[in-house]
Amino acid sequence: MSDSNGSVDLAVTVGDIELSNPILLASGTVGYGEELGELIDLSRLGGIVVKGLSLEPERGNVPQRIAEVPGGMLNSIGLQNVGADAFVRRKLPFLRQLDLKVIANIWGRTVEEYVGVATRLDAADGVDALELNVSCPNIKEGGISFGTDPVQIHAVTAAVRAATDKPLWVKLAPGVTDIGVMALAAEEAGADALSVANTIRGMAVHVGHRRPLLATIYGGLSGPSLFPIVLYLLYEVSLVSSLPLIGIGGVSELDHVLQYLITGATAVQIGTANFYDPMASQRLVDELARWCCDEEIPTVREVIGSLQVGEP
Amino acid sequence: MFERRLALESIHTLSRRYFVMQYRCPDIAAAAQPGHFVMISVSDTIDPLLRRPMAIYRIVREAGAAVGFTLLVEQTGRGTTLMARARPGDLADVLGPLGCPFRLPAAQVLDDEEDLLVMGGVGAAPFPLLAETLTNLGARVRSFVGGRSRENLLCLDDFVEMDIPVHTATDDGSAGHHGFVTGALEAHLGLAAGSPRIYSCGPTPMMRAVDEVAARHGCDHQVSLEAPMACGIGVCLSCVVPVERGDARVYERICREGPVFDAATLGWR
Repeated sequence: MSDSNGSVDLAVTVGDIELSNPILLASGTVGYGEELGELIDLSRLGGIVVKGLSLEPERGNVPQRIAEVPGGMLNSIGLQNVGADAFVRRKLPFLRQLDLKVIANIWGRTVEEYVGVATRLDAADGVDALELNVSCPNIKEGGISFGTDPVQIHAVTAAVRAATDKPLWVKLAPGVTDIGVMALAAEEAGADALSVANTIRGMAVHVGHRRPLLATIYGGLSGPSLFPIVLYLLYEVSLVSSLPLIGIGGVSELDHVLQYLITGATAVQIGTANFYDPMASQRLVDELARWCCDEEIPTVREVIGSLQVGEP
Repeated sequence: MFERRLALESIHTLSRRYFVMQYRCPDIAAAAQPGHFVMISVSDTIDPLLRRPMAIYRIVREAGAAVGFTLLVEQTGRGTTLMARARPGDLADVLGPLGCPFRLPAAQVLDDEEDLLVMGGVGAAPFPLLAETLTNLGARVRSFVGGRSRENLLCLDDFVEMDIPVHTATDDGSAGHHGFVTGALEAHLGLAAGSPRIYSCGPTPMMRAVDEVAARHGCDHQVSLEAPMACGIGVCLSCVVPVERGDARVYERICREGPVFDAATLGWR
């Protein structure tokens, strides 16, 4: 597995899926790939996690939907998406021409809705895995209310598990007292991998207007400022779960990728960096290959979980 | 759409609040049409994190070939303050040209009506290029330039240079018509025959007021909108605006389906 990366082996395995390299695009930051595909060669990446899909098309939240904050941004998009059927009909054909794994992020307001989306996508060729979003901070009825309660995580994961044979990743919420409990609930219910983590709730106020900057008052914080918080959460999850982990939060440079891999992530997802540095994901693949080469590491798999703790 | 790391060629202060930045980039310049914008980085650090959307102001030509472009910027916040401090040679990441440009009139209807460009403050930025393009097509172009005060009237020299009639209006009466730019527009429409094509950009209340006038006179009206946006290419879904399509009201992306919209679709009327 070398494509244009010389002799370095960047391939990693998440459950039953082999990725050509550990760099994925995060849900909600690249739509369904068409726009970013005008700028970068998507086939150079390990995979794409598409915008969170629901049973019916979703209109999303009222603007203003973003606010810039130090080292990051808040968003409250409200999971605007074309719906699972339109995704399969109109968006998936483009992705199927490419040589990368397609992971469909899915969400619902009820367990039945989650199962409905999973059932439709289970029948779709070209969807390699499902990522269960139990952690969106911007949808009151579903999303995060599932992700902060281990009983509900177990229930929705088990229900979706029963509805699909595709690999199932569960994307956890960062704003919980003990993320290990949530991770174990997903693992026991049949998850194949854990995505750590979604955005964390945040808020910003316009001082002059005495009003929140976001129309929904609060939103999800993403970007570089999130990186050390999520890295620690991933470490916590790695202590209790034997599942493959995917690090998501603040990755914009190679150092972040390596820190996630060393701490135990099998792959990472690039999110907010796609907005302010659209070439980031493709560049990180190259930089990771070069780093392995320079360090004389024949396979990136040697890096995963190589964290040393205790006395040096 | 090109992603380029560009060295600032020149920066020219217009007044306390406004400045013009010039970049050399044949790719972006040759592809740019009136109404297009770029996303430009304002810092090499992560604070501020996001690039800023900026309308393409003028195309720089050498021996007839497009070799560069300029941006007309108002210093309003942290990002534009950093931009104002940039010096020639400083590097910025620039992605563009982006968005859907102004729709130009078809050749066969060009002579039927005038083309009226109505702008407020830094909303003037895309109009000199539109004026130049329309003039080259043979259109009869007229500009209506509004602002709070005399110092907020932009691009006057650009229009004068192109022999385009300029009507000015200021809120404080320091130049031109005392009042909103729609006052100057209405005065002209009262004298003109037919239903000229109108293009506007500026504060939303201004564009809505222009649209009231446009609707009353049966004018085709295109507006260029702006909103906070993170990506500029349609993936973050931040910059949406409700648009009427058939019987449905849907959110469309200002960066992708816009920034230019037919005003009649925005539900203002």
